[in-house]
Amino acid sequence: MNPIATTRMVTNLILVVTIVSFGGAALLGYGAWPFWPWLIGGVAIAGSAGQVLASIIWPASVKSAWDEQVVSSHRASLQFGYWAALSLYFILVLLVQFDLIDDKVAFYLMAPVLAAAPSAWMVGASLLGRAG
Amino acid sequence: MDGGGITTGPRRVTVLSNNVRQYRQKAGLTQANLAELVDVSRKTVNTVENGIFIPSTVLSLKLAAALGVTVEELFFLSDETE
Repeated sequence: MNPIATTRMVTNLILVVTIVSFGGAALLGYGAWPFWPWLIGGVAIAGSAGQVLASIIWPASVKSAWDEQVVSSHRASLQFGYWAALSLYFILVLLVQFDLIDDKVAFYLMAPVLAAAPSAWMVGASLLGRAG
Repeated sequence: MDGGGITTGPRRVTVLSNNVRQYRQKAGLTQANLAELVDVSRKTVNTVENGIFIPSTVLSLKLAAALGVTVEELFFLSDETE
């Protein structure tokens, strides 16, 4: 497998696991702890840095790691992220309306899910052989 | 009584098919070799061959040039019944 594509899949997977852990903890009532946004942001930035580093180490693999099928999957992942965030918004509105979760928690959940959804899509695309 | 109802039968659809695998094998190339020639991943060549991914005009022209055939020889429309 292309080393850059592998790095991309691993970093996306770590980000998804981090955000799902955060979401689970928040929904279970452990609150939107102050360190979570920093942790998620740190993992996302580290993942991006990892991909940049992989591109520097393996320059010959850059073109195939971002060929037109990968670009197409990446575009689809962003569309999925949009619809995931929109869907989650309506779900959270209902949960807040029925006092099932705190509105502050709902607010903290929105952005991470928007970040996790495209990454989750790219992990799936990688496993299906559609992302390098 | 006929009643003039609509007759339903097997629906015919036009699909894009390709001969990429055949021409690649004829040229003695592996998927990885062909991928390297056209600057894509091996998996992209695989999904193109299996009709999962439809390549752009640019990639189609690159594939045709790499295999020494025309685009029409690589890709063609065919009718299938559903």
